Amino acid sequence: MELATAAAVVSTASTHPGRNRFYSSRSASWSNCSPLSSSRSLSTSTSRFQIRPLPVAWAAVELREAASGGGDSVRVTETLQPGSSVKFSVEVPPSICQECYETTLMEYSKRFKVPGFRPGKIVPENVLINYVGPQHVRAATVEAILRHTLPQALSSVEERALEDSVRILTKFDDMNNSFSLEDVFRYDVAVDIIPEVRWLSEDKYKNLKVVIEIDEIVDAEKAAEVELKRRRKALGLLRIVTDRGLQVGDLAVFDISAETITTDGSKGEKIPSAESTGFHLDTEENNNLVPGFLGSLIGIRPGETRSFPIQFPESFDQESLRGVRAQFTVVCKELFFRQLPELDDSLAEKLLPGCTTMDQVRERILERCKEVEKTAIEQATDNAILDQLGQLVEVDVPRSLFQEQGQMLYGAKLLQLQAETKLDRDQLASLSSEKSVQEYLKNERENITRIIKQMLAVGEIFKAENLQYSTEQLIKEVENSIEEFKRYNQDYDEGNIKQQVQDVLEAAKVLEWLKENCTIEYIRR
Amino acid sequence: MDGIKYAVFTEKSLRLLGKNQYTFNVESGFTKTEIKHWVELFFGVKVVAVNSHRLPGKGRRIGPILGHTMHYRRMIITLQPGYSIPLLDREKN
Repeated sequence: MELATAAAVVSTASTHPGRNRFYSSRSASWSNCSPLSSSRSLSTSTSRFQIRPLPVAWAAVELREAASGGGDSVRVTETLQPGSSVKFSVEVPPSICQECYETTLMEYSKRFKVPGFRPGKIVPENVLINYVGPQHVRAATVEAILRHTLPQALSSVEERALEDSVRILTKFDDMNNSFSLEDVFRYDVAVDIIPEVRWLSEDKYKNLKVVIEIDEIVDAEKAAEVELKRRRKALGLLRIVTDRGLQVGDLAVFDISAETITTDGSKGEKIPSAESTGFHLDTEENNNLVPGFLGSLIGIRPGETRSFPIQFPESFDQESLRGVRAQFTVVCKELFFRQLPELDDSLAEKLLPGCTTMDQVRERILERCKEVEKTAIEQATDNAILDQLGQLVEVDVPRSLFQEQGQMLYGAKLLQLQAETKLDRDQLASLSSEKSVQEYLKNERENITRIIKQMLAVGEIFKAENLQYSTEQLIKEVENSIEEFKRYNQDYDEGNIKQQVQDVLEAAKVLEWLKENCTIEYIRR
Repeated sequence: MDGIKYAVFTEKSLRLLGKNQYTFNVESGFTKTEIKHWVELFFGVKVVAVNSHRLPGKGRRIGPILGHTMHYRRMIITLQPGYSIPLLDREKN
């Protein structure tokens, strides 16, 4: 990329109003002072400014250079790097260095009052540099050069560059040391660009095939039955069992203690997590018990004590107990059996307020369960589609995007945590420290990458399919979320919200489209 | 060059440079002739005239102790046309 310096100078002056003051007509007027001023220069550089054109002539030279389009230019070499970033090796010619040096001095002369010189009077360069300190001038010049040349250097990726992702790779100290007004000034800068979404298959996201597994619990009819049973049970009466042992279907109160059995047969340590006194066991709902536990207890009578060994299965929930052999000692305290009420219309009102017949109750419960089922299935479908999408694309995730997304997720998690467990300020501070965030990013690397992939894929489809959402919808959603922010008295940025809402709407549209245009297969487990 | 402390760079001194006049701060006790002699010997120039004035001394006081900053005499040395002094980089401001 070649840019004419002089042209750039003029254009910078016109496009960056903030920098205009550097280029005022006075800019060179002070430099034609006494011959003394040319006797010195920056301590590290040997260049001297001996012949200085007068301001008018200076401007003319500048214009002429601009017109001819000649002169030196910022030389930029682009190198692609992994992680969707581009490395630029920038070489700044001495002429631009010189220019930046002068603007810096100009700034300094305005800012400092040098003793022996009245304000507004021209201070010779060497006097000024001596007063300010050569290191400071050098550092400021390097900074000015960076500020001046970075936009030019990055102009080739201006459209694609991600916000705030510019990293200057060369250390500032190195730049500072290597800076000289006569030499070419070099530095490396990297910028993350919007990653390219590559589809792994030829037909991209079309002909997407999604298989969704649906849990049994969400099956509406079964769920309705379970719900009905539960309600009926709650209405049932408990009677004390006196004349028989424990049967399946009874409710019992136990005192349980357990000890591990070591290999030589002697009793080991107690297992605190398996112990409880006054444990209510509903023998009908024994799904989370250790297998064999209930079987050993059948026939136990109130007041009786039983002791039996049990091997915890390898697939037990609690990791520390997997595969452990334990000796259980169970004391039966009380035994009840349930007297369930008859299922007829008179019970309907109690089962579900507002109903008069049993059929009505069944229908209502079924309806409710169906709703739950529907949302669950929808959720599962969305997740499955997104998962599939994430697998279909290959994206070189740029670092800055990863960081941003990770931090967002972490923030959301923190907020949730705070809402749940009322963290105090110190805890929050320790959780939001740089270290813990980095830790989180490291642990959740895959997860975050997957989310970014999905996001990008969705964006790509939205563009590719020319999907649209109505402005009304957008406005409405934005208003809704603003209201929400107001309700919780939180600060918000309207632009930000709008962006977020847009993303959400986009995603919803794309999902809708995908659902219509791909084969979805449901499997019941 | 014992007596001459440093060259002075102010608006006025820079203006005077154009008239081949050099400004120095000199320790108080030295006389014009001494300085003239020194300058001629040291820089190998011809001095036409020497003007001088004492700088207003500033008192300093730390608690009960009274003191003063260094008092200087400022010498403005006019050289014969054609001669010049290479000024050193030292600047004290």
